Amino acid sequence: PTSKDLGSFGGDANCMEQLLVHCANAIDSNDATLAQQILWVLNNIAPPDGDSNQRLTCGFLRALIARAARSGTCKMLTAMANAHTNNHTHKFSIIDLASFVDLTPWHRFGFTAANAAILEAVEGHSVIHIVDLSLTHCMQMPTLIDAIASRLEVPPLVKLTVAGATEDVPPMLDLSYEELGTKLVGFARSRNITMEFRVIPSSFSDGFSSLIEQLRSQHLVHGYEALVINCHMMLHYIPEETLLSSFTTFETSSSSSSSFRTMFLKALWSLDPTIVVLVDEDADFTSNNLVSRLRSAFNYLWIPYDTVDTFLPRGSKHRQWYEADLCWKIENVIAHEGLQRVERLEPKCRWVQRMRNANFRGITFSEDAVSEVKSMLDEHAAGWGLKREEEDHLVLTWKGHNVVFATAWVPT
Amino acid sequence: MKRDYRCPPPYPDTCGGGGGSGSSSGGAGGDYSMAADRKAKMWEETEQDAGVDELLAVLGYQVKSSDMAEVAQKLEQLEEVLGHVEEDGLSQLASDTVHYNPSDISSWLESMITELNPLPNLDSSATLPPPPPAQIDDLFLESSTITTDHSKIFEDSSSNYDLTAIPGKAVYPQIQSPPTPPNKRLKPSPGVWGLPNESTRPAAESARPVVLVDSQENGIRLVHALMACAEAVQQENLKLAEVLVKQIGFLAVAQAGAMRKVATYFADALARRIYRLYPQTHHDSTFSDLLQIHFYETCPYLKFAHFTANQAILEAFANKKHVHVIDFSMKQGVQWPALMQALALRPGGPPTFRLTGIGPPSHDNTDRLQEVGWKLAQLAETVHVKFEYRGFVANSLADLDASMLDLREGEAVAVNSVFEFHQLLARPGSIEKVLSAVKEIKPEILTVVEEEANHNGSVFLDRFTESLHYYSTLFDSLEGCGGSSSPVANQDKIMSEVYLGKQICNVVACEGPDRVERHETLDQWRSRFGSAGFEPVHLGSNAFKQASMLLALFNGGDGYRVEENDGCLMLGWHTRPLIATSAWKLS
Repeated sequence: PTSKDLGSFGGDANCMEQLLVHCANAIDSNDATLAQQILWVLNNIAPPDGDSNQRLTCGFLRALIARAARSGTCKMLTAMANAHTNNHTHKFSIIDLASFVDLTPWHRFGFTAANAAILEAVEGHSVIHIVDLSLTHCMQMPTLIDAIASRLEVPPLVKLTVAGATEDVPPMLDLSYEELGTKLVGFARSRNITMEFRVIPSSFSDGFSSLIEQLRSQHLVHGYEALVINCHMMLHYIPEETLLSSFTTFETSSSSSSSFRTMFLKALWSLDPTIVVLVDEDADFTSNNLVSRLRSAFNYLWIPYDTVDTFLPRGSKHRQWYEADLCWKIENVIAHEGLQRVERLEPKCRWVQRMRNANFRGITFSEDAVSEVKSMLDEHAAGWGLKREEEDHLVLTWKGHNVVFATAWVPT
Repeated sequence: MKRDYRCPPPYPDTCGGGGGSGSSSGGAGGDYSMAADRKAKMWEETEQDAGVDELLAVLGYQVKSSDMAEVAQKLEQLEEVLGHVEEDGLSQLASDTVHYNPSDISSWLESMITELNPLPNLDSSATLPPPPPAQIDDLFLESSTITTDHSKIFEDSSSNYDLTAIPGKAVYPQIQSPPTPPNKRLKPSPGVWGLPNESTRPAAESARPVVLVDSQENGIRLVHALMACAEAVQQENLKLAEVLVKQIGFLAVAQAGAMRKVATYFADALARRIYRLYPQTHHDSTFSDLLQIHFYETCPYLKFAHFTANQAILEAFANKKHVHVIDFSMKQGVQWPALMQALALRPGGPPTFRLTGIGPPSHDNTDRLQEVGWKLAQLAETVHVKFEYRGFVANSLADLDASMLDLREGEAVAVNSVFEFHQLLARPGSIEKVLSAVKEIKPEILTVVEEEANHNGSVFLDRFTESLHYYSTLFDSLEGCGGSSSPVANQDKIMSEVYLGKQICNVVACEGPDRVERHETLDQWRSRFGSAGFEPVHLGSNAFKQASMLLALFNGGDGYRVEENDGCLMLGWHTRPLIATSAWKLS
């Protein structure tokens, strides 16, 4: 059935959310009859080519089907679950990814705020060591390098370190980090910046422990560097307390065992960085209760589906890639459990608390930074907005809802 | 949220005499598990003392092998006595009471004989015990009628069949190879046609040759006995049939799982036919509706029927502002909540939704049709759909005509029939009348779900063979469903088997207008609908994909298959289609 664009999503979205919740409950309690009925209804009311609510619901529907296929009630892992459309996530070329990222403030917001804060912090240092823990594979860096080249009086030596992750989370790149590094070094050179690029194989699954070790050991040697830790939507993959981990923590603290997330932040502090920028999505995907998680995810992920109409035409392959990546995330949150469930977003307030617990102090974004962000937003659709919270925190909003937060920290 | 849309079935009351089969804790599987326990014990006992005959022990008869001769002799005597029954006007022999699980076969036989010899009041006399499940039998028999047909029960009293040697290889030819069912399905155990799960037992050592205990051979024997018995019935050789049906009983209990159950039901049906213990067609629809609910829960057939029919209806109603569904198979209305929900959230907003539910009269004082309607109305309110309902009581669909249905201008009508049309074939003229009424209704779509089998042939043996294969496949598929995952699921499964058992009984034991389970194949329905002025509506690929996905996700057995057949959808078990959904419109 073709969709008619209903526009408003008040009533309908609620209904769809309710159906999804009932379905999730039915699947988890093995009520096959009810689950099948609801799945049938959802199949009919949420076409993959419908309006944004319908496509959002469709993504959740597929995730629930995937979950049902994994749960014990089904003996057959069904190709049917994937039969509607293939859900392969796209591998971006550098150019494609760069232009993709530019289409929307989703990442640009964090880039802009972070770069402004970083520039201020590294002023006067002759060596800048940037550790880029970013979901977007160094897409933030060219602008930063450019800014370093143009604004700093004395061009510093720039070291760029990234963690070569073993896991693949979208957006995925079609070239290796080594190749990526070569390109970046070349770009830096074109701006008269000498850059060293290093990949340290390290995974979020253990809180980047090998990266931390490397940084620690070299910090002893190069203590005079301005150490910049740029965290862009990557830290939410590090396992936190709700994950019952069978790993033993390497820091044997007396009382409660710390999660990797906690330990990572503590380790960061011990590196005595010049600045830590923490940018992430403002939502809570950590509940162990499926229905809570579903509600949180549904009430957050409507945003990217809603925004996509403003920057990608219907039917374009870019839109397909974009929404395929979204479906990947939805499926990860809904259909997976344990270690496989990597999308563990925490809201801003919790991250702020974590940083404070790890002995960091928030620093304010300058007025320049704020106005840069504002003018960046002006390039995009009217629904995007900027909010300041608690003096230190910048929040990107869509139609008034919190989307991404940006915070900057120094060790106390 | 489970069973949201219908009230919990009050089955402890409606089960009547044999009731409570579901209500004992874990006891739903009691009959079979008790037998299994007995068998286990049996193994222990055989080790210790080979005194008790194994097979009969399984039945519950404590018969020492050494006593077998005596038992056989008594059976002979009994038979002779029975042979005189007709002259003595002992048609009351065909009585309602079932004597089952006697613990002492010898004294039971004795009592039978003494009861028969002087002319007694036979209200408590027994027929030979039909094989378990006994409680189920009770349910049938409580409404049995006693035949008034006084034709000879036995053709001659000289016994060609020597009960001193319960026939092993004697009665029918050596079996050289395993039987191949017509569809040549060679499915490994625990299939009906395959080997049962139980390990093979050693041949019993006894004074007399008794029924072979080799399970595999027994399975083959069982099939042959069933067929031979049906053939005997067809030829009206009731004496032979009677012997065979008893033998089937013994052979059946040596089987496990689906095979045992199917054989038991067929044997029971044959016995009824032989002894003219015809089951009264249940006019009490409450109980059969109840059984159907269990069947709905246990296995995917009815759910498939509903999804596929609803998909066709939903698509036929696209862009219609006012829709009206006329449901010939209303029962508990389980088909409609999902459709209402889908209509409620369809793009463009919901239509106004009218539902006319047709059902048979109920025998208690409740108006079930209205109750169902009320519940659906409540659902409609929660999903914000304007809803109107009307319940129509009719003894037969043929009593309906279009003028009764308050059809309105501007509404799109769908007529829905799930497992109803075949019943009309029991009375000549009914189906034609109903189809012409449907034509008067001028529906957008007519959705029909029927069993995919020809159980309406004029030759009894053909019907028997067809239905044996059909229900064997069906019971096979049930083995994987529900099962022992929970007492409720187990109960559902048992009741589903009862549901099917009643159909078997109807196909095999009934004739004339009482024989309502007159299933016909999709091709046969196609030509009927075609000549009545309907043309097919293709169920789309969407329906096919959805059905496949939903099945794959949830149904225990890997064996279910959705097939597309020229625009119709069929659900089957492995290679055998079992039900078919088709959709029609006026040409």
